[in-house]
Amino acid sequence: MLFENHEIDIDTLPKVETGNFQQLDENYLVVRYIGSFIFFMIIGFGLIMAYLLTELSDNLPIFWGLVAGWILWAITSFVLTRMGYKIRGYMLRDKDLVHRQGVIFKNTTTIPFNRVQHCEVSQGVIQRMFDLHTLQIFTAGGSNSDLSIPGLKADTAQRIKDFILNKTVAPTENETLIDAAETIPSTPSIHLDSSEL
Amino acid sequence: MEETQVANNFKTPRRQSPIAIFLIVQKLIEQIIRQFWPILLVVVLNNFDFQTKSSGGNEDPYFTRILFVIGGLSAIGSIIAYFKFYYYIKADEFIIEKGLFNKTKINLPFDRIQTINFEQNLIHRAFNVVSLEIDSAGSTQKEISLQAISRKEAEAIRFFIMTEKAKLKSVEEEVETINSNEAEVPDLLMQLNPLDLLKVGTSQNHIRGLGIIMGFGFWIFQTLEDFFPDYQQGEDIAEYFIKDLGFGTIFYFSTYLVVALIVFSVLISLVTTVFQHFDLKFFRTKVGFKVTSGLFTKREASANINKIQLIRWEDSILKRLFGIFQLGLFQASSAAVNTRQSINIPGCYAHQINTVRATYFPAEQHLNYSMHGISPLIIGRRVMYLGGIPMAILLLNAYFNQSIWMAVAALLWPIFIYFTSRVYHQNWKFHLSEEGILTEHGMLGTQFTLLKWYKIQAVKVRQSIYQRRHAVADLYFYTAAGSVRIPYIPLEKAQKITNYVLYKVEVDNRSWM
Repeated sequence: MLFENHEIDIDTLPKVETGNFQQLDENYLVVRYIGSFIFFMIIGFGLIMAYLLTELSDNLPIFWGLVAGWILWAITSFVLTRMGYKIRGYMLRDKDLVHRQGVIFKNTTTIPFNRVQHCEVSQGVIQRMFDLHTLQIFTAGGSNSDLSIPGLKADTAQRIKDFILNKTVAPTENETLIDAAETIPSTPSIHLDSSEL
Repeated sequence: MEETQVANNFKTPRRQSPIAIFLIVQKLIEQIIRQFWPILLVVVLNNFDFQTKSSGGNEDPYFTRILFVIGGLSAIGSIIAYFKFYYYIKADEFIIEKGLFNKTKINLPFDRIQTINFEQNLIHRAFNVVSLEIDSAGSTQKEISLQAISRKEAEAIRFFIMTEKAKLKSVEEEVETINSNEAEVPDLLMQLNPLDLLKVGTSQNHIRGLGIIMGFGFWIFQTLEDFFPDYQQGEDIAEYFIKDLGFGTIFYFSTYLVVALIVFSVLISLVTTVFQHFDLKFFRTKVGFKVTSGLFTKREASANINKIQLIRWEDSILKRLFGIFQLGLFQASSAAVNTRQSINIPGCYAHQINTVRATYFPAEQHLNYSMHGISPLIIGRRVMYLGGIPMAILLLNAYFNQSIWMAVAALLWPIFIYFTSRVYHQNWKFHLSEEGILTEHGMLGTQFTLLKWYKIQAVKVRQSIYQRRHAVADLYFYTAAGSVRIPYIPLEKAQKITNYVLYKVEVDNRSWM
């Protein structure tokens, strides 16, 4: 027995492991590829510069070794990105959000809505080209347990955000939680005076 | 009533006590010294030299002038900062306005305020003022602090905010209602007498002290190079010593050095312990705990029982000898877990730990724990990572240096890791109950962590490729003040616990911080 003296059968509880995970938008894979491409181009450019400007041109074996490493790294990254995309997903449940991620280390993180401090929808440069958004979910105290789910269509991100924020308000019989929820979302409490601009 | 009077008092923007100017200057100087002390030391040493050397003479007045300009500017800056800093209370918010060019206004709603702490250093004490630090929850806010206000004022602010906050809070919280009628007199749980202080000091982790000495020694060593006249640039300093002083001298010298290092690191931890924990008093107040301590800088930290997310206590070989534990109360804070927000009490005895435990987790005594261990697979993994990788590096080194000793050490290392890992595996235990979890682990000492389920704000199951093949997983519980990790448990167990914990958190309407 895992838990003694308990009236609830653990096997009847909703299971995180058997749910259906929602995959990210397929364009997100393209976003990641573009990101990786730019990254590896910069590294490649660095290699070329090193070849032209330093004594690396006298050490051809080392140079070609570096190039081979560069190619290998790029291929690994490509494969991992693809595999990571397939694994990565989220599951919206009635009372919590589950997020699964990682190829080498597979992480399944669950945040109950009643522990969410606030949510944010943001967008990177490459994501903007495909109109994709990242949903960030913040908990209290430090960033260890914060979640961010990228590759969401604008309305999906907004809907999930509203859903979560609704849930953080809903279960209240007392006003405290409502108060807290009202102050939580988009009012940062450090205001900058206009004179700063 | 006193309350409304306080409220009226703080409604108009007010400045800090003028002593704040000194403190701002002092803080600035401290910062400068902390960041530039090697440079400053070099400059001072050079100025010593300059009396004997004639060439470097011109630099000195130049430097002094720069020093004066910097000092003057920072003094002016501090005065301006003081006059442009206002604080006040307005409709359930604590507000700070500051800045000359960059005006900043910080609003801190009472219900976001986690703790209010006082701190006093020597200057504070001389003028009977305190610095006030307010910490809030949430990642967007900063911790704010007032440099100096009178003690009376600080206490009034704290009292006012805390009572207003309590009014905002729902009354249904079980702990608060239980305690709200108790008298204001704090209950002294423990006090470190000089003997306890000595115990704590000697049983501290001396590695930090050793680190300080080593760092300093290394610096001295490098600087010393300049003082030996026939030392040639680029020559190995160790070789130089052996060549000039003889091997025997070096041997005795290093033996003395090692002994001296040990003595000094113990001394350093003793001294820091005395500074930090002198006259430490640990109180049980009506809302939580309070600690006061310090020789020169008197610190007072308090933890609201609702804000405490988890408690942790640990011993080590030395501590076990004295029968003492180090206790940590981790409370919700804006930054990640840092030492400021977690209250640390060294030198607690078992019965004091039990009192704290009972306060944090009153239901614990009626619960049945079931004990669980972790998978022995962890031994193999540790041998591979902690044993294999250093072994490979050492072997490579041994090959290049043709050193048989290094090779032997390389081969013995994984065996050593294997045995310690067995102990590690054996000592890792976790105890599950309906309402919370207690973990214990450690090789020489033991660290205990007690966590109530409803304090958890996220659960993570983590599996490496290897773990996936063997159906084991690491389980993480995140709270607003740090996390608890259970390594290498069967996947199925991890999932069951996850589902159960999520259920417990999601049906719980108690406020958790």
